[in-house]
Amino acid sequence: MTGFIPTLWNRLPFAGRLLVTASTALVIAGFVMLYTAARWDAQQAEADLGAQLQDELRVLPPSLAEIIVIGDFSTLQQTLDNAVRRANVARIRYRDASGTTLESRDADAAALAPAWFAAWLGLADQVGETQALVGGHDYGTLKVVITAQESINRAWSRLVQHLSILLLAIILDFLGIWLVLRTGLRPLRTLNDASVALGWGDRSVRIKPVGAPEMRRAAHAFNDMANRIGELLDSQREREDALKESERKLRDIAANMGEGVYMLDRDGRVTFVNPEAENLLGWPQAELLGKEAHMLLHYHAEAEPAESCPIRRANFAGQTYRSRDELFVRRGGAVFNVSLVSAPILKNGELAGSVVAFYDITERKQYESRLHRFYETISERKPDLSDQIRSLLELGGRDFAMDIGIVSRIEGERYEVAHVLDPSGAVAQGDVFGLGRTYCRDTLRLGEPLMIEHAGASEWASHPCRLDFKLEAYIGVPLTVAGRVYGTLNFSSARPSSRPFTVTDREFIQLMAQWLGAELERRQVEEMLKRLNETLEQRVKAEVALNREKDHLLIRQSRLAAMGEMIGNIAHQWRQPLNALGLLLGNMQDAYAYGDLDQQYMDESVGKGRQLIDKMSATIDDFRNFFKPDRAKVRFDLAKVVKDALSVVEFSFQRGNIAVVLEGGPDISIVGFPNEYAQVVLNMLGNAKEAIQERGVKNGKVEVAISRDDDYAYLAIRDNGGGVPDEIMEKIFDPYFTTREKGTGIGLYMSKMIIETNMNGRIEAQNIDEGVEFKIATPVFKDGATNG
Amino acid sequence: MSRIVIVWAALVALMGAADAAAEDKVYSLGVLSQRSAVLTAQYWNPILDYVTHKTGVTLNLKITRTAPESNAAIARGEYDFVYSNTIFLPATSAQGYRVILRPAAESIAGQIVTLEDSPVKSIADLKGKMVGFPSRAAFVGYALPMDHLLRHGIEVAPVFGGNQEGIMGQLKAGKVVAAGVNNQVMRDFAARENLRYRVLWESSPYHNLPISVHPRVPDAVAEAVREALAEMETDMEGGKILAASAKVIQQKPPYGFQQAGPNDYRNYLDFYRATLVKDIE
Repeated sequence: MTGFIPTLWNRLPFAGRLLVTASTALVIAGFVMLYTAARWDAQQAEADLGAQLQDELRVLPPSLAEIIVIGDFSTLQQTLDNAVRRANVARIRYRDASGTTLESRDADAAALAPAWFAAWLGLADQVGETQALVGGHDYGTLKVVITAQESINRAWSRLVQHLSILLLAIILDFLGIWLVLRTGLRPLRTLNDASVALGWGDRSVRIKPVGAPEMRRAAHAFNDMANRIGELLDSQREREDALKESERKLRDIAANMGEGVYMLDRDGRVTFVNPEAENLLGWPQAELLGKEAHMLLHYHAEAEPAESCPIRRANFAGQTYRSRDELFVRRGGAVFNVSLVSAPILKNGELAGSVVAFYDITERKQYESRLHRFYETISERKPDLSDQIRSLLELGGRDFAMDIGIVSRIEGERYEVAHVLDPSGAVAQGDVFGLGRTYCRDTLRLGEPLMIEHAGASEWASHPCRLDFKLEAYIGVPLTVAGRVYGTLNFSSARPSSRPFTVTDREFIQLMAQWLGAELERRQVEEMLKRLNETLEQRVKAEVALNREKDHLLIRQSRLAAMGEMIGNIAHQWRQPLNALGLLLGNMQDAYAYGDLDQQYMDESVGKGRQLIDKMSATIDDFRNFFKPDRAKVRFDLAKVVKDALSVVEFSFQRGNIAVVLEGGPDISIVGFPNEYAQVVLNMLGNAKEAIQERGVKNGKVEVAISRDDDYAYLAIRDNGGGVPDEIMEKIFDPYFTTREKGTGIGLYMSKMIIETNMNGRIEAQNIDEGVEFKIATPVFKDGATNG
Repeated sequence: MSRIVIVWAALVALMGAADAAAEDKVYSLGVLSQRSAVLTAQYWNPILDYVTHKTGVTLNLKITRTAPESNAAIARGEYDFVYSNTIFLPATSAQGYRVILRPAAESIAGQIVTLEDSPVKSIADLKGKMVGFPSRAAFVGYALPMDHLLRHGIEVAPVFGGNQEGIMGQLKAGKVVAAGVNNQVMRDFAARENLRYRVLWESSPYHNLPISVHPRVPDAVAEAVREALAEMETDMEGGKILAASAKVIQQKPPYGFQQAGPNDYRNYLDFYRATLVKDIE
C-alpha cells in the first residue's frame, strides 16, 4: 500500500495529476469552509437566542404588570398565548405567589436536521426566569423557554446548500481543467518535439506561438533560446577564429620585436625562440628546441648551484621574475648584460611553462659607466678652468678613442684653439685657423653633434680638414655659453674610428658640451661678481657722501625757507618802530621849522630814536639767535621754545585769519637742540597754515597742546585743514614727498630726522575730525640722566 | 382569687389566639380606580408592606380596571378596607363601611375646566356640548359638576373617559370642550403635561378619599391598621415610603393619613341625599 500510491501517482498523466490535485484542494477547502461556517452559525445562533431570551425576560414583566396587578388571569392567559407565538419562543409559564400557574406552549417545530448534526452543532434551548415585581411587591415568577430548533434547521439547510455549491464547483473545476489541458497539452507536445530536434542540431527549428498565454510565452522562450544558441555557436566560432588569428599575430610580434623571447615548457625545455633571441644568443632556434636551456643561456658562477638560481626557481614555481641586470652567455662563451622578465604560462590554471623576454643592456651599462666617469671628472672642482677642461678632454679622448681634444673659440671665420689636448703637440693653445678649414664649420651649421668615423671612406673625403690636417675621424658639438655660440667641443684623430659612433656617443658629447657651456658661464659670472665686489665699497661710500650732501642741501633749503619766514616777521616787527621813527623825524623837522627844536627837544628825540633803533636791532638778534644752528644738546624749556616759534609765525597767521590756541605749557624741560626743535614746530605750523589756506577754511584754527608723562613730553599740533588722505598717510615723512604744487617734500622728512635721530623722540601723524594731528614725543629731562 | 386569675388567664389566652388568627388572615384593600393599575400598585404596595410589617396584619391590594368595577365590588362588600369616597353612595352605603382615616392632604373639589384658548367662556356656553367626565362613579369629577349643571338647567352631552386622567387626555386632544375633574388631579396633570386650562366652575371643598373599614373586620385589626397609617408619616421609615410613593404619582405633601370619622364626610351624605344626578354609579 505504501508503494501503491507513489506508483499510481507516477503513472498518472499530467491531466490526471492536475485533476486529482485541484479536486482534493477544492474538497479540503470546501469542507474547511463548511465546518467554519457551520460553527460560526452555531455560535451566532446561540448568541442570538441568548439575546432574545434576555429581551423576553426584560419586556414581558412590564407588559404583563397591569394584568398581574389586577389579577385578571384569563386576560393573562390570552396574553401569554399571544406572546408564545413569537419566533423561537417555545414556552412561557407564570406562577403567582399563591402557587397559581398559567402556562402557554408553542407547537414544537419539526426537526429537519439529523440528530447527529444537532448534537454536533451543540445548540440547546435557552431557559430563563424573572420575577414580576410591581411597587416592590413580588406577584410571581415568569419562566421563558427559547427553542434552538429553528436555528438548527436553518444551519442544516445552509450546510446542504453549501455542499451543493461545492459539488457544482468540483464538477465545473473538472470540466475547466479538462478543457484547458485538451488545448494546452498539444503545444507541449510541439515544444517537446522541437526540443528534441534542436538537441539533434537542427538550428532552424522554431515553434509557432499558439494556445494559452503561458504556452505562447513558452513558445517564444523556446524560439529565443534557439536563436540564442545559434548566436552563441556563431560567436564561439568567431572567437576560435579570432584566437587563431591572435596566436598568429603574437608569433609575428614575437618574431619582430626588439627583445629576445624564448619559451620553456614546465620541465624547462625550450619550445620557442624568436629571431632577436637567436641573434643575441647566437643559437638558432632549431638547436635550442627541446633542450633544457636555462643553464646554457644564463650565466652562473662556478660555485653557484642551479637550484639557487632565482630565474630557474621562479620558472618552476610559476612566479614572475624581473631583473634589470642579469648576465647571459652568448654562444662561444661571451657574457653580456641583459634586462629580463620571466613570467609563468598558465593553461586552465595549471603551470604550463614560462616565457622569458630579455634585451641586451651592454650599451646602456657602458653609457652608465661613461656617465659615472664624467661625473667623477666634473665633480673634481679644480680652481683653474684650464685644468678642469683638460680633464674633460682626456675623458672624451678615451671614451671616443680619439687622439686630439679641442675646445675652440669661434668668432666669425676665426677659429681659435682655446684649450687643447694633443699628445703629439701638433696643435697648441692659441692656434688660430680659418673656420672653413675645420669640420667645426659644418658642426655649427648642423647645430648638433657631427660624427665622422672615417672621412676618407665617406662624403667627407674631400673636406679641407681632412686634406689639410689629415683628420679621418671626428666628433664635435656646438658649444653655447649664456645662450650664445662660443665655439665647439670636438675630438678628432688621424686614424679612422676604431668603432662606429653610437647614439650614446652623440648624447654623451652633447652632455659634455652642455656642462662645459654652463661651467664657462658660471666662471664668467664669478669673475664679473668678483670685479663688482671690488668696486662696490667705493660706490657705497660715494653714495653715502652724496646722500649726506643731499641732506645738507635739504637742511639748507629748509633754513632758507625759514629765513624767508623770518624776514617777513622782522619786516612786520619793524613796521611800527619805523613809523614811530618817521614820525619822530617829522616832528623834529616841524620843531625846527617852528623854532621849537632846542637842545632838550633834540636830546629827547634822539633818545627816542635810539630806543626805537635798539628795539629793531634786538628784533634782529632775536631772530638770528633763533635760527642759529645748535652746537650741542642743551636742556631747554619746551613751552618757551614753542612760544618763541609761535611768535615767529604770529604775524603770518594773523594775516591769514588763522587762530592759534596754546594749551597746557607746564614747566617741562627736555634735552636736545632747541632751535632744531623750534624749526620742527615751525614746519608743523607752516604745514597747518598752508593746509587751511589751500582748503579755503574760513575759521582756520590751530591748537597747540603741551603735556607730559613720566618719560616723555608731548607736543600736539592739530589743525582743521581737512587732514591727509589715508592712502598717502604712510608716505608723508618720506623725503621729497609732497602733495603741494610748491612744496619741497623736505619739511616733514627733516622734522622726523631731527626728532627721531637727533633727539631720540618720535613723531607721528593721524587724521582727526576736521584735520590732522602731529604728535611729537621727546624724552623729558631727569636729574642725573640725559637722554641721548 | 385564684378563679379570677384563671379567668383572666383564659381571656388573655383567648385574645392572644384571636390576635394570632387576625395576623394569619389576609385582608384586602380595595382602591378606587383613578389611575392605571400599575401606578396604583406602585403607590400602594410599599405602603401596605409597611403596614403589614408594622402591624402583622397582611393587607392585599385589590384593583379593578374601572371605578364602576370598584364600586360594584364595594357594593358587594368584597373589600375589607376601602380607599374610596363611593362608600357614601346609596348603592354602597348599605355595606356599612366605616371611615377611619382621611388623607392629610388638602381637600378636593370638583371643577369644570376648559382649555385656556377655548371659545367657552362660561358654563352656559356648554349647553348641548360634549362635556367629559371620568366616569359616573367619580364624585368630584362627575357627581358634583353634573349636579351643578343640572341645577342651572344646562344640559350637556356627557362623555366618559374611564378615569380622571383619561378624560383629561380627551380634553387636551380636543375631543371634548370641557371636562368635570378633580381639582388636584387636574392641577398635577396640567403641570406634568404642560397643559394650560381655565376653571369655569369649582365646587365647595370635600375631604379626599377616605379609608374605611368593613364591619366584619375585627376592631383590633381595624385599629392597628388605622394607627399604623395615621402614624406613618411621623415614622422615619414610613415617611420615606410615603414620599417615595407620592413621587410615583407626583403627589404634593403633606403625605399620609389622619384619623377621621363619619362626621368628617357628612357633606358627602348630604350631597347624595339632595343631588339631581341620578345615574351616579
